[in-house]
Amino acid sequence: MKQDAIVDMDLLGRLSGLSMKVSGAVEGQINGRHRSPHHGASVEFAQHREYAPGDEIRHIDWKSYGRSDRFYIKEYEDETNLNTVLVVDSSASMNFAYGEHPTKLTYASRLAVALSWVLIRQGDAVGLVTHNDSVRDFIPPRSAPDHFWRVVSSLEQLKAEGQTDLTHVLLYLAGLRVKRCHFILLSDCLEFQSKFMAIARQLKRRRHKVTVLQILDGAEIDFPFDELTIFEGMEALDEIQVDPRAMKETYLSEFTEWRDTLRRTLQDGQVDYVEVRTDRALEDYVFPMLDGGPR
Amino acid sequence: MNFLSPLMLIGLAAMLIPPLLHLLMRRKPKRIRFPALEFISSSHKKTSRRFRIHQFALMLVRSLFLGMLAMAIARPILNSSQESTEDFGDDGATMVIVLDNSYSMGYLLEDESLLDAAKIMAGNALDRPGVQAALVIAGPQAKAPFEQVSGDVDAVIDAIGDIEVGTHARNLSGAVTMAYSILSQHTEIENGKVIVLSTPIGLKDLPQPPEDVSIDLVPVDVARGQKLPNRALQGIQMKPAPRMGAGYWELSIEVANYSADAIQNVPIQVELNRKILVNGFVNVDAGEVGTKTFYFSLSRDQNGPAKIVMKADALSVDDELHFWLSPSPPVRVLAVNGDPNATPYRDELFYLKKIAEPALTAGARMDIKSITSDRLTHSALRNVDVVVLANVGDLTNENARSIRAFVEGGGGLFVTMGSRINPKKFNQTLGPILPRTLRSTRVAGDASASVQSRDRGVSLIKTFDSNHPILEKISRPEISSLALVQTKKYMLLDPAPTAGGSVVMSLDDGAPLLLTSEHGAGRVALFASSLDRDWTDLAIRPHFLPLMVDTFRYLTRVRSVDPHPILAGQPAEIQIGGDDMKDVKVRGPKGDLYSSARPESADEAWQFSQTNDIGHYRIEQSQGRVELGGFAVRVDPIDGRLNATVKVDGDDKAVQTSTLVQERRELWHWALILLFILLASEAALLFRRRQTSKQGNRQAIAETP
Repeated sequence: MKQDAIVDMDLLGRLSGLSMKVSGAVEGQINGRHRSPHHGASVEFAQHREYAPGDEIRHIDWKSYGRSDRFYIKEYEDETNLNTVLVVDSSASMNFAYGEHPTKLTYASRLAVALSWVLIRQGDAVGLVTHNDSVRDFIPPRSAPDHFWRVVSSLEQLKAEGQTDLTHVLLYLAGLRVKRCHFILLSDCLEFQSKFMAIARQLKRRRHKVTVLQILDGAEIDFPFDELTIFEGMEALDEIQVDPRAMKETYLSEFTEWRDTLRRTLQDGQVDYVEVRTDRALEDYVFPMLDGGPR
Repeated sequence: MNFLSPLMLIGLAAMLIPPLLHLLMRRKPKRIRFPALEFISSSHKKTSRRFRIHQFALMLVRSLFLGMLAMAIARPILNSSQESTEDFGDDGATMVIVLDNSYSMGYLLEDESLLDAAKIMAGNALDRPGVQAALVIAGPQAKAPFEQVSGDVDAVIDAIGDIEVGTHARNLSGAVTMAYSILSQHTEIENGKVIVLSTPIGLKDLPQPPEDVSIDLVPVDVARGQKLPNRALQGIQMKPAPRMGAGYWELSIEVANYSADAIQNVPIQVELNRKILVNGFVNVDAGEVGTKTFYFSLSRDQNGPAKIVMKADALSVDDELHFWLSPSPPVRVLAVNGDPNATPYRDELFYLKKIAEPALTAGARMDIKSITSDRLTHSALRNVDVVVLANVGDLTNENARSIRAFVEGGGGLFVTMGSRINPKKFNQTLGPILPRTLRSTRVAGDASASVQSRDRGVSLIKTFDSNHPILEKISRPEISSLALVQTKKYMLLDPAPTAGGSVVMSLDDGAPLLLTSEHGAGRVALFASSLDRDWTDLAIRPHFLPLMVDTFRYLTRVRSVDPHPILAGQPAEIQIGGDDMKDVKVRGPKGDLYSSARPESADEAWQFSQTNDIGHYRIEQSQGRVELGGFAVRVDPIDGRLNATVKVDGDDKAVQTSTLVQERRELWHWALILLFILLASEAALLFRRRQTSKQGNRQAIAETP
């Protein structure tokens, strides 16, 4: 597999028989394995609703029309599919890779591809939002099998550039006219702002689900440098010359504290959080999610 | 603080290694694009200062470690003298300070001259309440600036401050005696002290206080017990070195090594007219006087101020020896012709005169003057180096006495035989100084045989003493033209040597042909055959010329340069030719100009007494600046030795030695302890850094999910 290839057919083959479950009800367009909050074409009647242009004629309750001379649509408790939007951060900081590992963006893309594969295979709809400090591309959720390749194509064309603004992206997601869905954010979250949580709570109130997969390189976590080094910023033009031996301890302490804080903050706001290291195998993160969903 | 191996202090330069390594091995920093720059920046701000201090401390510790190692190897010692003014006297004491200011007090000990050290010691002694003091300066002649002790100590201290190191030799006895007499004037004083400040050897054999007065003699070693190693030029001897070639001289320099260690390869050079004539190195064993010999050639015009310069030590004044080089003129030969002849080649001196021709002698520098025997007088022997008596049979008793006196005074005498020699008469006149007395003439070979065979009518030279200076330069004389010399007639000599002569050459029948002997300061050579061709054909052999030249050189008197050196402060005798020169100017080494007049009495020597400066004095005409010659003044080498055990014998009550005890503490083990402390500090610093690093790593590992 090439360093920057994002589709691993072997992995996708191993994922073919698996499915992904989401706790709670989700909105979807087709019948599927998740209980839908919507009322649709099902045997179990739920309620009547007044006809509106665009409703399928076959859903009109002709008996009620006969009684009341008005068009009503008969609604049933319906099973539906899962709407998932993968939100991939493509800011410049995602272009980082130390050693032989893939860049954070490549890793995030692979993760997105694997999740898309599983979800579409099980009949769920998958959408994609790519962003840096603004949204670069939006693919609405679809469940058609060839939609997978559209997602893949968009991810493959992704280049890491620009700065991150997660809050802005979350605001964009809040403005989307989509049914209740599951937003999976794949980002290093280095530009995490407190405003993020307010918007995340807003999404939650609309019964959306938010999961953050924090993509980090092993070098960011372990800081394995020991020679005089000039560190250059990836999203800003700053640079700083330091002796890593001098500040390793402090760096590790501060970085760990920051990650802990981020985890607690997200979890307090009922946002699922998973830390993903790019130096570990993709399966380590994909399979647990398939077993029981994000933890 | 001193060091036993100060050379090892070069190792202190190793202290520069850590900072240099830091600068030179500084790698170019790597460039890494890193996302979490904010965390790095924040951490760097918090830790960089602490890290720099840590790094600097580590470098400092390492530098100090290397420096301390060098210090330890250099073996530091601490000289702490238990020096206190109590040794010199109590408050209100009465004392006479005797301060030695001879040239040896210019010895530099720890960059301070001994005289300066003595001044400080004297100042300490005087700086007490109620002290009454006087001062005696031990110069060439003892001098007391104050006639009696006084309470004006400041004046005494001022007078001490004005004293400078002189050029004279030590003369403490007179000064100490003068100090006793000053104290003796004050009969009311009890237990007055005479404090003598000098070098250890200067304190030896000081005159004891008079018995009738109570005076304490306090000899104080200004070197505080430290060794004062010194090397000094003692004297020189210069004489012709004919063995080395024409115009060569041999200069022997005596170098004394007054130290416990041998001196090795000390540079030494001879300068003439401020130009280096020759240089080399001298080695002398500990406590010995060695001789360094130089050979060099001098042309006739090479003369004037010269000096020997040895690499300076703590006492530099005796590492230079000035002298006035005036190489002797060419060997002056007075040849007395006992058998002159109008036909040149039949003349007795015909062949000898030939060798005086410059074209032949080629720089052998022989001035041969010939006279007939009837013109030989006492005055003719003046300004002559060698006298040749060639077949002189009519030597008067008076002339013989003159010649004998000439030889005893260092002149050379060369006697050759001939038909005019009457052995008996000759023995009566010059017999006492001849190597062997004459016996009779002898015809070579058998008389009858000589008729039958001409070959048997001559004698050949068979035996050569190649080690004799005369034959030293002739390589293998037994196969040279000398071996072909045919001698028909020669003088038989008495077998018993009367003057201990040595045989240089002898004939095949055993009869000596050339002999030498020494008589008084001079030398005599006796050639048993004739100088012309009457008795032998030596004169026409190629080796006649070198044989004669070497014989005359051998007979030449040895000339020492400055056999009687002029020491600083001693009068120099001015020797100017021509009685019409009534006065001269003398320019001293420092450019001072003195005038000196010839004494009115002819018997009185013309002396110049302002010789306090070391160096060359030039004698010039009183009118103009025509230089007439010069002389050199040097220090008395006797003071070159400075170390001695202070021994003060005598009455315990009257004599009290200074208790200046030199305590030498070696500090190298302290340096080693410090070294280990530094080593431990470095280890601690490194351990701390490593711990920090490990802690960081552990933290990183623990965080890995």
